[in-house]
Amino acid sequence: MTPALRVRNVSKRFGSEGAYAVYQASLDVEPGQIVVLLGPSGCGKTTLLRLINGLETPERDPDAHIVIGDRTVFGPGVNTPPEKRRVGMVFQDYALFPHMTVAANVAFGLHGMDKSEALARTMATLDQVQLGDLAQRYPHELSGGQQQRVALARALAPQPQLLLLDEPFSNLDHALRVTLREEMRSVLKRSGVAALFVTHDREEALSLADALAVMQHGRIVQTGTPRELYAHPASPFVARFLGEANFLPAHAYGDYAECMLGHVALEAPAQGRVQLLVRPEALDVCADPDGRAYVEHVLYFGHDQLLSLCLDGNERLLARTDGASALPAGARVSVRPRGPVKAFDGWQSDAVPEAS
Amino acid sequence: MNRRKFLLTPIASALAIASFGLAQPAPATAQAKIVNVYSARHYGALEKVFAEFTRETGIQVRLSNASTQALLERLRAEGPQTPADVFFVIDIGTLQIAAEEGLLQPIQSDVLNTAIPAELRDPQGRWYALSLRYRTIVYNSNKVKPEELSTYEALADRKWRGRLCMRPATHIYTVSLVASMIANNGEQQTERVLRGWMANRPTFIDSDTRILETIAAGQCDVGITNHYYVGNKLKSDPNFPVKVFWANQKDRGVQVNISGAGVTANAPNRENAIKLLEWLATRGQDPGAAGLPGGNSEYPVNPSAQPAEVLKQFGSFKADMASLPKYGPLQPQAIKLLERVGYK
Amino acid sequence: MERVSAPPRLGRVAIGSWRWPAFDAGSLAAALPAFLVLLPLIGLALAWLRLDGEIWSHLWSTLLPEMLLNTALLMFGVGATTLALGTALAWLVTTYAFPGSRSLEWLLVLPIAIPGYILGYVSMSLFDYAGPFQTQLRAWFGPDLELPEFRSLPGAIFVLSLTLYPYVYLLARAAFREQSAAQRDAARAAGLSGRAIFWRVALPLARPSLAAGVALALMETLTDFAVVRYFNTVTLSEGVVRLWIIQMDRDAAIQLASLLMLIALGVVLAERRLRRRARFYQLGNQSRPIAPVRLRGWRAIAALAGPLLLLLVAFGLPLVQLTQWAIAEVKHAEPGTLDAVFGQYLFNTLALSLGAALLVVAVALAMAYVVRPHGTQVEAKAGTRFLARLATLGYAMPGAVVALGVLLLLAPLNEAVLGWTGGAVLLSASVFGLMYAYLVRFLAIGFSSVEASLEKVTPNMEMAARSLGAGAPRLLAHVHLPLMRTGILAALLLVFVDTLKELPVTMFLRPFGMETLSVWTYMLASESAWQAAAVPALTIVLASVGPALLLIRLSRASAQTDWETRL
Repeated sequence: MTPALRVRNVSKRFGSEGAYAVYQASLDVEPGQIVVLLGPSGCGKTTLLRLINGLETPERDPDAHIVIGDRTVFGPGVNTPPEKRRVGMVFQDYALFPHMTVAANVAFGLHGMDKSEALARTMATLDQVQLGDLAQRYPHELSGGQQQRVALARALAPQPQLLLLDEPFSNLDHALRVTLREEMRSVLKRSGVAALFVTHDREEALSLADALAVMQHGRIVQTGTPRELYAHPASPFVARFLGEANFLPAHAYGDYAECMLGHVALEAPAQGRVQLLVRPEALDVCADPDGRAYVEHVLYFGHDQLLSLCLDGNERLLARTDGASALPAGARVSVRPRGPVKAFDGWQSDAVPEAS
Repeated sequence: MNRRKFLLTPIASALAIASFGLAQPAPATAQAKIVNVYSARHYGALEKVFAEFTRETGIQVRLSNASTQALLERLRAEGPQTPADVFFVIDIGTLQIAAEEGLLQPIQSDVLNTAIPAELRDPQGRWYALSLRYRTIVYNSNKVKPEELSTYEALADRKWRGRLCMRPATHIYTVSLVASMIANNGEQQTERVLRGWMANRPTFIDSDTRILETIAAGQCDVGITNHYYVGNKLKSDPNFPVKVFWANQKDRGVQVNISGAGVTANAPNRENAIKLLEWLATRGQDPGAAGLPGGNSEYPVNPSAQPAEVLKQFGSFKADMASLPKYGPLQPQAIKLLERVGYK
Repeated sequence: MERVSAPPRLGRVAIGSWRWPAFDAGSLAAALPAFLVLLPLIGLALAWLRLDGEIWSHLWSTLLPEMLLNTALLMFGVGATTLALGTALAWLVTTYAFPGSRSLEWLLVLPIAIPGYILGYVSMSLFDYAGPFQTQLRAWFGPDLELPEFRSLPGAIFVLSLTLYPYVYLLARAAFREQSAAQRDAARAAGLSGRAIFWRVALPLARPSLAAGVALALMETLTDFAVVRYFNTVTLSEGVVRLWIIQMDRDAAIQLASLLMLIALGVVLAERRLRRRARFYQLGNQSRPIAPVRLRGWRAIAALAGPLLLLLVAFGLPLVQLTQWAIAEVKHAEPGTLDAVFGQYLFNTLALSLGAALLVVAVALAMAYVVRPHGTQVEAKAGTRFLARLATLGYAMPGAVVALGVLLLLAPLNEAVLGWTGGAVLLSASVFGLMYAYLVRFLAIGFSSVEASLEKVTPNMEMAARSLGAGAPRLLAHVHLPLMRTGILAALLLVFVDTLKELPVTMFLRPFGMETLSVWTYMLASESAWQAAAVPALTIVLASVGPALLLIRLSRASAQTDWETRL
């Protein structure tokens, strides 16, 4: 089956001397699939969206092309203008037309369609997002969540092959974000549209995505399912961006390594200086008066708790344990990885920028 | 997005509308029955006179009004491209300057030469006087006896302290009055007189009419205005308390000035311009409301014309015709002198 | 994203803050209109390179000291009076409620509709020695009653302040409106009395707006040469006209105009400084609006009577007097003459004003589109914004300065065009020169209004429309135009009326026969043909009342939408 979106070797830089905002990006979105583009702000995700919808033109490159469905919209000798690409867009600030009613906003993309058909489609789409009774309101009369649902309806009404969503929830409060996320996922799945969703929020990314693509410094550094990426990050950056992580300097000797936790089994054989990725939830912590670590402080969440541990030699580790075991601050503990751990080459993790 | 096209349309239409609205008073061709006049004369009196001219000749008069000085400045700036045919101002000095600078052309007209005495026209025919006005002393007859008055110079006397109303130096009337004083008394003597006036702390009012009204109201007792403002006041109020005193009758006579006109050097409608001047010097000398002098209580230049009725009560008087030719040459000196003594 | 909330713009002039920014290729497009507008001013500034010692020493020994002193006193007087009047009235209508306070709120804007050169001559006729006011007083208190001379600097300050205080009033009112009840409650909780709250909380918070209002009033003061002429006060602007027209010394006029330009620039910079320092005062969102204090009894009467008396002097009496004169003039005029003259002048005025409005708004639109953020930019490039701000400097420049600058610029161009066209086209005294000068003077008004309305169309909105299949025509027709319509209309109207009222530029640059209502009014009024001047004057005043009211509606609307979007 042809993918809904195929992006190959697309680059963009601003100014002939400037750094690349997007470099040699390649990406597929299958029909009906939700792909989340995840990365810190300024990593180039929004620019990539603008390249896909045609508001920016990629650098000339014989290998670069963008295909939506079976239409090549960018490639050698081809550059379809945005209004001909038929790609739906949903924005962080909703970008509703303030001078039009909700219905008129939704019908905006149905220009040229038969009047009654357009009206029927408008109402059907509004019902899909459960806003049928607000059709005659103006955007400023709606709440933020309602406005975002109108924006979604507006983008879906022309039944595009591809929907691009640019951080659509970041203007909303947390609780609303979670409900709206569920709702949007089911609306997207029901409509069967392929969606490319941009965010810097990993919780949003992990819960929404069929597939994830992580961007860093203009490059797509890894793609895969959320599970794959969480469990097998290709770099410390991806590892840290997708969740809390401890990195321990170590020396690898084939299928094991020596570090401050002692002798640790490795997932895959390695040699020499490495850093070990140990997720906080993958650590076993036991009260042990002779343990090499002590509890510095505890963040208690009920269902679990986050322990900040201090090892001899002042190294710090995060560990997540179930909420039942009471480990007061200052208690001596022993710490062990629960299973084999992943090793990255080198001790320094300078390729890890702060996630926002 | 095609922004350029979107923006060009309003710009183009703005220019189109503007040029349409403005093309309309543009200079006309020689055949058209039109004459363009730069006029420093006030709106009101003149329109009636020109309406009469148009009625009789079928030639349309187009007016552009400004002060005498502003018109000269404009004529200079426009040079040979000026759309004006007739330069019609209220100061002989300015006409002389314009003629000297080549902005006016000599015309030969028996009608004009017969109608206007030689001392009231340029020997080369570049300008012609069309009416006479006298800038003289006026006084509140309830407060001042005519015996107390004599000359312009005598107004520098200390007894007039706080009692004078004067026109500011920004008006050409003041400039030419000072030019005539320089012509008769020399610059030093004139400076002394002007400083004397200033020492009397006159009230400066940039309007002859308001000077008369202010004298009538009592803020000043004496002022200097053109005679016809009194005439016009008397037309509406025969008991107006401010009277004309003919200045300097024992020596040179009262200061005289003209309203007059010349044909511009490159006048596009030269023939019509000459016709206008000829008409103004003959039929236009009517003492009635539709006459150039009559409508404004001025004196006619044409000896065969009668002065307006209201002027009869002013009697006969002596005028300083001799210094008339010097107003133009002395104008820069007069301006500098007024500036030097701190005249407003 | 940093967002400094600026005082509301009222569709007039936005005097934003600017620094020296980095320029880039994109800003070149914005540079074009800016350069066009600045050229005449640059030409005048070049006069500083060839300072003529002789002219200056002559000026210094004659009128210059008096001009400088009078200009300084006039600016101080008008600045202080408009500040006091505008602030006090704005405080009154925003803090208190009394019978008639709602109507007073918009009535107080009306005096802005009477230009100085009209109010000046009408009040001269009413209040000078020979006028009815003093005549009546003398009838009551005897003929020896001594009143201060009305034809004087204080008289000029009086007249200019009465027509210009609405600038301060409008901006102060908007500023007081924006302040929240929470701020005042906090002040009250800290033990401040009502008076102390005004001086220590409300006034400092409103300072940027007050500075902007006074700056506008001072710019108008600097451009005036007519009122000061009526009132025998030689100022720099009057001096430029005097040197140019009366002494026919254009070189000296240019030298003096370059000095005047410097002072106008000083006003702009001072205002910007005041505002920048005041930035930290800009607090965040408005919470609860302030509930007005109800006044009763003699307090309510006093609160109503004071402003009404002011309105009577600044608007009521002049309007009645003008109407009376105009009726008398129409009755007395020869049938036909007035119609013909009035008709022609009215047509000229309308054509010029419409042309100027369209031209200014078109250029303003072009500039607004260039200056707005493009692509992924959150804010427009500093370079383009700086140039746009620079282009709006013409508004601060006195009319005589702009007129001289345009003439100076067109003179060499004139020669060339005369050569090409065989003497058929004259640039300097043409519609071209006049329109150019209007553009220089009024671009700021058009630009700030158009730019504000363009801000309503966010880049994402455009992106959304295009992704929904809308090409440029549909985008313009269905998104841009509906959202910008009010702003464009307001800009057109404001420029239209400002051109209609404009005196110095029109007077100096109008082509042959291009008499307008304002020039006609001034020429008649300066000859004390007051009755005759009333017909065009009344027309100007009536035409200006609408936009004056529009200003207050705009300021109300902008405050409201700001408020809404912040929620």
